[in-house]
Amino acid sequence: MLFNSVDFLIFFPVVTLIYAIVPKKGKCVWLLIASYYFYMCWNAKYALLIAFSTLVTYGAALAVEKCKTKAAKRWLLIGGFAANLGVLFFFKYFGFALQNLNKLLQHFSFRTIQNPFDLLLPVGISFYTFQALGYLVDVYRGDCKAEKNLLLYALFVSFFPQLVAGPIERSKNLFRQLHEAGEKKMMSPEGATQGFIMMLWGLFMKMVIADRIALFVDGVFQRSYAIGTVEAALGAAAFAVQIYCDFGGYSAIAIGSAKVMGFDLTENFNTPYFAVSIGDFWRRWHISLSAWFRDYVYIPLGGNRCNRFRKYVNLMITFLLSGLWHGAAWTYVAWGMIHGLYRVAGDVLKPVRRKLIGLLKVRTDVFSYRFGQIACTFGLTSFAWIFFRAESIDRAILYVRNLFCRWNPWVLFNESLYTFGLDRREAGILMAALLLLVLVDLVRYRTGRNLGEALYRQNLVFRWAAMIFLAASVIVYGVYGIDFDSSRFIYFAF
Amino acid sequence: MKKGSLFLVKGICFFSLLGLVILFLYHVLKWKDTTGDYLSSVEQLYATGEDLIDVVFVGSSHCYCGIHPSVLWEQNGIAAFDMSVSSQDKNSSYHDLIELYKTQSPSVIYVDLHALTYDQHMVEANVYRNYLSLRTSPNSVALVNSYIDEEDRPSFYLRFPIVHTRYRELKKYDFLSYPPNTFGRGEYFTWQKLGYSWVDPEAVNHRTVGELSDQNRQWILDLIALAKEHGTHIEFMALPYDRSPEQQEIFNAAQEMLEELQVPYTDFNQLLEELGLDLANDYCDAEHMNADGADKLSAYLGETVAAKYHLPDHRGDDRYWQWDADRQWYENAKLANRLSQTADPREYVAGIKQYSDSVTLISLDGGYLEGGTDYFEILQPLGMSYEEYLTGGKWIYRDGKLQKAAENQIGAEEVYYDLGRYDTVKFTYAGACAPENMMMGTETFQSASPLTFVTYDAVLEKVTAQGAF
Repeated sequence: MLFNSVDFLIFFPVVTLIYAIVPKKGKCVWLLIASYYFYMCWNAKYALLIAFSTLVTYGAALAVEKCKTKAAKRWLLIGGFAANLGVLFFFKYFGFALQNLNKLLQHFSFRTIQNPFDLLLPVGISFYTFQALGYLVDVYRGDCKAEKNLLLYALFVSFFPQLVAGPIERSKNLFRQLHEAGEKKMMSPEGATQGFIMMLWGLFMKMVIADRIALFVDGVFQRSYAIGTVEAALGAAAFAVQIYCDFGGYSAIAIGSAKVMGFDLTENFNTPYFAVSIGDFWRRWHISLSAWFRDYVYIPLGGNRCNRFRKYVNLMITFLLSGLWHGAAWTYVAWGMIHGLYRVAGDVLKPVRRKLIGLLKVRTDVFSYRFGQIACTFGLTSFAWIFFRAESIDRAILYVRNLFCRWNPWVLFNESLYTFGLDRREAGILMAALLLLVLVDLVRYRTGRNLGEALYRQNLVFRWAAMIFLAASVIVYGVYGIDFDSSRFIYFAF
Repeated sequence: MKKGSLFLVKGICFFSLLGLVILFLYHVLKWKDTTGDYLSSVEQLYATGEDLIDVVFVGSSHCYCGIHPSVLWEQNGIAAFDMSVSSQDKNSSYHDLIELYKTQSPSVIYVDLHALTYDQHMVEANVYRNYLSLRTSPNSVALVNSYIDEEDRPSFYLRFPIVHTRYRELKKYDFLSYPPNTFGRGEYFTWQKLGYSWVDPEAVNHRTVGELSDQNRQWILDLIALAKEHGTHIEFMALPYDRSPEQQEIFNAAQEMLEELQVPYTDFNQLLEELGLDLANDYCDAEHMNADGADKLSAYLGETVAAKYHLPDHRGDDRYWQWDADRQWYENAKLANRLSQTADPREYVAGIKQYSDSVTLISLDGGYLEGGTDYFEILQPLGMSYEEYLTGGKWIYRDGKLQKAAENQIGAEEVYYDLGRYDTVKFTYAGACAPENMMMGTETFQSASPLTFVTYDAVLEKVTAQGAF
């Protein structure tokens, strides 16, 4: 069930209304039923995988807590990880691993191995697996207590707003709220209003911007053999916007729908394209995943409390794993590697940068400097997105070659850009929507408030007008319907 | 008021407001034609008062092109209606009739059997015409369920997933109601001529009886049952057009079935001579009759229905104003067609005198005096005096009165004249016969000829005829 589907349009109000009237003790049971139904709408059988992950981590956490020796705890942790990552590997990476093994076998003239499985990637498997594993580590470290109530724990793993694409919730944050839901009234007028606004904004980002700009991006990437510098640069920048609005939109709907029911989920995006460095970008982009990798991979590897070389190795490992998490393809690994290299290069060149700034007497406390930083960071992240979006490493290299070797500024003036999937009218709608996006992000950047919070502070007339405008824009200008059935949230593939 | 109750009240108000906005958006974006160019028989049905229609003709474009209720009205005072949609299929005709029965109790229904010849739509727009035009109700849902794939049904129920992209093509009548939809009776007029005889007129004599599919048989039985349930007579017909032998075989099979069921059936391809149809001049293409052909068939039907069912003559009854307006529309359309074709300015002048609810702009410009009094003699019947004639200029003929609008004079002030709610003509003078001398929006009307007529239909809110002499 997609958030931008008719099914969800019916599902969510029904679930929320019943949730509102169900007695406190039954609220979590109801949410658990709703969450499993939500997931089973995709593939009923795959609900068994969530149940498996839930039972394994539930049992392992209880056992870890009861264990007296550190070694036994560690073995239980390893066992829990192995079972969960084993399932993840089998469904997500087995085909990829076999494909690469076959290439190797072919290289040495051995017979290749046929893939005996025809597997469909279970939706959201990377998200709920990481959430469950994060909880297990927290219990192992003693950061949180093992949850004894199986139903509550099952809801923690499968809570429908964040089940299929996050945010990857931390045990401390969500468990507390799930417990409270059974004890006190969680829903409030302001929460419901703010949540509803966030849902509308998420739909706007996804359906009006992401799915519209995707038409241009698809046009550019499909013709990447024929494009020049201008189209390539615009295509990469457009994909940067597309993936932000796609995933950011999804997250906004997830956070909003949870908020309507009185739950505060972790913010997943904080104006990522206003980042002034790659490090800053990763503090603003897919925050719940970045934090997960930081806390459960980078820091356990030693983080930056080790020598410089080791720190760089840790960074590269973390980013390569992050890339691989996004998909079973070398393009994602390359994307992770580029970001790792950005971080390493940024750290290595820091003294040089400082020296240059001092030498050239560059003022760093002015808008232009900050703007330059933002522009450079956007350029670097957009460049990396090329590898994320390309069908293969070869296509990505071709794209990059055309980006740097075919200088063709005249296409800005001969209207040929309108042949890449967006005509003049659609481009106009997109530009207007992007202006609104920049405005909303600026408000967030300056005040720290998301649109839900910002609008809730305004007068009722303005708030209602804005909400109706968003709803009407989605209905009229959203890319959906019979002609547009291909629109799916990009991050569902992960 | 408690915080929770206040929130509830606010929520109800907000969602009511949102609902109104969505309704407005739907009104603008919805699919609006069943016949083409904003003309919709379904909208015309909804605009009809309760229990007025006596005779219903059900069918596809063959029906709305070939049967003119205005003829039955003019000739017999019969309140007929074409419940027809482009490529109206079996499901659509059945559910359209159910929709009609919600407000009407016709005495007799004539169903064209053309729908027997196809099960699937070949043109996407016809799917939308047939499946998005009814108002949302259990009947419209049942209609969608009868044809649309399960996966696509929600889009058809909600409609927005299909029609929302119409923001790319919005025009005036997406915001305003299209005038003929308030009084039209389902028909469509064209005076275009095919110009040659049908490709295979001999196919009409093809007497081999084919087979009727179960679906086709069931459709006929369902329609008979529906009519019986509502106490309506039902007759089937095959409207006259250029059929293939395979199609004729299907009609022959239907005829056999209907004879067994003792339900009246008429194959009009067998009555071409009796109807006096001229295949080259009474058709706009090989499948559709033009208005001349429709006049003949409609007259025949009018006489037949009147003789067989003894229906009351409603002429003069105010409740039937739509049939009067429909007839006037037909007369005006016929007149407009004649005016556009004529090369005789006297005929044009005679025509505009008959053309009700019209405004005619007249330009007397350039060397019109070189012809002596020729042009004066043409315009005199409109009430122009010789002195007025000598001054030339731009004139307006409306409601039988002629008035001067602007002079042919360089430097004269621009003159604006409202033709309708949204159309204003601008008169100016930029030299003899300059195109911009007479403009509506960006459209120029002035011709190089000394005498130019532009006729604006105030009901249809558009220019319907022009002539330059």
